Amino acid sequence: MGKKITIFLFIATIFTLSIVTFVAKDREFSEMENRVLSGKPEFSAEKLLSGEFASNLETYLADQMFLKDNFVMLKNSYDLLCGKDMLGEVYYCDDRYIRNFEENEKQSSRNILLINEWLKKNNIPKDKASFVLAPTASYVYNEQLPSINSCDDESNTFDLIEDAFLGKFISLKDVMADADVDADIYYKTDHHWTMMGAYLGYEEVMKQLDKEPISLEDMKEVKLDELFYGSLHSQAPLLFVEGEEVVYYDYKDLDYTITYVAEDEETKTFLVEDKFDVKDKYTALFGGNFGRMTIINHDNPDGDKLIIFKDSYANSIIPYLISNYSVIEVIDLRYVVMIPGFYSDKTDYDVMFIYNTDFINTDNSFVKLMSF
Amino acid sequence: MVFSSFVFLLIFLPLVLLVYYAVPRKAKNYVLLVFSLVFYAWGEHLYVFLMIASILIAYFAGLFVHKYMVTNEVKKAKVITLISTAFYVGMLLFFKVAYRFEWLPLPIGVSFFTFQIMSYVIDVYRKDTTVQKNPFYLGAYVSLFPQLIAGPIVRYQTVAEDMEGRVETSDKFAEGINRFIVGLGKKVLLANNIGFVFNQVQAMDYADISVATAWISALAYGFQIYFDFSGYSDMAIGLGKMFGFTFLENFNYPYISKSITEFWRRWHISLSTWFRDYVYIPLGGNRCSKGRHFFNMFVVWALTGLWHGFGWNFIAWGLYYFVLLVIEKSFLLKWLEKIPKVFQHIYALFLINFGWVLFSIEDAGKLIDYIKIMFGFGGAKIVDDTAMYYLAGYGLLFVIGAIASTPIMKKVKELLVNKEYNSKLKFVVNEIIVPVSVWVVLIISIAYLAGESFNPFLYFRF
Repeated sequence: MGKKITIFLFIATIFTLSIVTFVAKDREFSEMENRVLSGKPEFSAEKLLSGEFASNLETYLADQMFLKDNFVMLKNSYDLLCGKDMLGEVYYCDDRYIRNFEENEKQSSRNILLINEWLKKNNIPKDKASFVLAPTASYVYNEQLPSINSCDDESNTFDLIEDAFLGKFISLKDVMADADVDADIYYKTDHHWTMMGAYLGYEEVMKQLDKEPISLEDMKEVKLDELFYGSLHSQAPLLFVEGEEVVYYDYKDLDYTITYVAEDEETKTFLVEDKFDVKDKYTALFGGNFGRMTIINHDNPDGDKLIIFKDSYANSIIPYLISNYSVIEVIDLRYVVMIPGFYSDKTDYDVMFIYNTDFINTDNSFVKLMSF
Repeated sequence: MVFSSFVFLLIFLPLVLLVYYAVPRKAKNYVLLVFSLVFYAWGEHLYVFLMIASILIAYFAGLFVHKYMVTNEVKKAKVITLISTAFYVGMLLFFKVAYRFEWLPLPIGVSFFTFQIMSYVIDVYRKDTTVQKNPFYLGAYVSLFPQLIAGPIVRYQTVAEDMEGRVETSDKFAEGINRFIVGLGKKVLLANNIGFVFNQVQAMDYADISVATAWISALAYGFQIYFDFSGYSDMAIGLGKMFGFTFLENFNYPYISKSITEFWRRWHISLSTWFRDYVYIPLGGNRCSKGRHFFNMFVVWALTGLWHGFGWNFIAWGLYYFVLLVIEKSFLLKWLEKIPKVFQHIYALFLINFGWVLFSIEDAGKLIDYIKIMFGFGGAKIVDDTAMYYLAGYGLLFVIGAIASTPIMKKVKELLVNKEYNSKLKFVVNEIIVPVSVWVVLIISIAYLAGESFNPFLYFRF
């Protein structure tokens, strides 16, 4: 019996974990889990008797445990090794995380119905309204998914929106699926597409709207110094998964201003450098999601005007659109408060809905449209 | 408190080990008593008084029974034994019924510690064990945290000598660690994971379950309950060893049985031997008329079912085994011996798994629907995507589970070590491979606990 080794490993392990967990300074926030961690539980006779102390202590230990994130990575990696390819709601296959896609026909039908109602209510002509629908990675990288998986087919959602939408439907399904597999069009660790991927979508939109797209060569690359570990990595962190490089495309010189209406703030660029070194680097685009932004392009005062209703996918495509319009009103229905009569003085604007398939199947904020 | 929690692994265990090994011999049982009561009170603070009262009653009952046996007043001793036994049976029944009808939560481990205490007083009466004159020592035995909440049912006679003067050795300590970690791994890595399949399928609409899914889920439950429960016994036996105790084995690879009779010699041994020694044999066992013999078996199996819970499904499960065992004893065992072994295994595993279906589904209507699906009635699909999905995602785990249910790994290790001519290999296996792989299991188990916050033991409910 290797009894000395056995005893040493066991004692060393539990005592080290125990002592370091208690001696080390508590972490207040876990970037990995994106939440505030619990602190040392307060002790009182009352809490002890009610059982509250016991459960608080367990939560505290689970939160503050030494090497917690590494242990969680180890667990997920072990699961993967055991043949589980779906970790929570996320698949990991061929160096890439893919979020499970679940179709919810009830929700998506309801959402498109609300959109149509709004178009009708405001008498918006068909040729002034468009719907840009982007697929998520589960469609684009479908062949990389395990052969038996519980992903629904995103095509159904494309068909549903195409059939129902009253205006012009612009599907990004094929351009994304036909893109070079090695091009970084979706993040490997995050559920969003990249600005490179969004550019393909942008080109398609421009083609469909008979407009001239700006060339990527006329823009400058902004490479972030830090590696990006995206939201899917946080959901199922794995050992040996490296962070990925993030490349944004910025204008070389375009004079435009972005007004964050509710926040009453104004900036001259969509790239927020403060967010380059936070965990969620996707928020560097416009600083995240805001209820209403007004973007005015001073270099194109006579261009068309546009209202965009959008999700976070759109944050990657809107930067390109800035150059093609004189004014863009950007509305994120999740975060906006009602703006009655919003459209009545903007009847000369075009309207564009930019969403990804997952969003249209899950989001329930479209009812707010009725107050615009 | 449960073993697979951070409070236990990172606070309780390091502390009790430190204090236990720091104090002199005389104080060790007291240390165990105090820690065990804290261990129990941690989750069940009021019921700890129930436990203390149970201990005191057993202590005085034992003393008086012993005294009257010495003075040859057998009748008085018998009366006290009967009263104390009736008290514990009544208490157990009361809590089972109260739990069933949701009046009170079940005191954790009540099924185990009442059986232990009962057997102590009866054994003193039968002169099968010595009387414990120190109430704290008796208390330490009853509340001993390694076996407190999910067994095995350790009889006082097994540890009577250990209570007075046991010897802790580094050999035992290391063995204990290995055993504890193997049990932890069974619970955390196998039982919880495989059990996930069962829980998910049970949550499905029964109309969507295919025949294959129904069987996969039933198999999953069979693995889950075995790894959960035997894992707990391993942890208990291992922890016992770390403090110098030797408990009897509770499981002996039950799924390699070739008959139901054999299965019950290998499954939850401490319970079946308890019923054998305190119910079946006193009733006359098999040394009586055939009718009486079957009646005795009926009583034992009805009680076995009831012990698991005051619910009709548990009784049905117990009586299911009564019927099977009567059939086997009457003629089937002789027939079985004549057919190839592989069929004997299939026969036993099929019936055991079917038994778990009875055991696991408490709602009678659901149970009948589920059995219909299993046997293809009612138009369920034979195979569907869900079944394939579980096979793809959990197939490997099922294979690991199957291997871990047999003594294959043990045999392989013995084979590697026993070849005397290869002492180098023996050294590598014993000194490196075994300790390091066991440690890896510990680390992955801790990783699992870090990834999950909620981790109750299945056998709590019983």
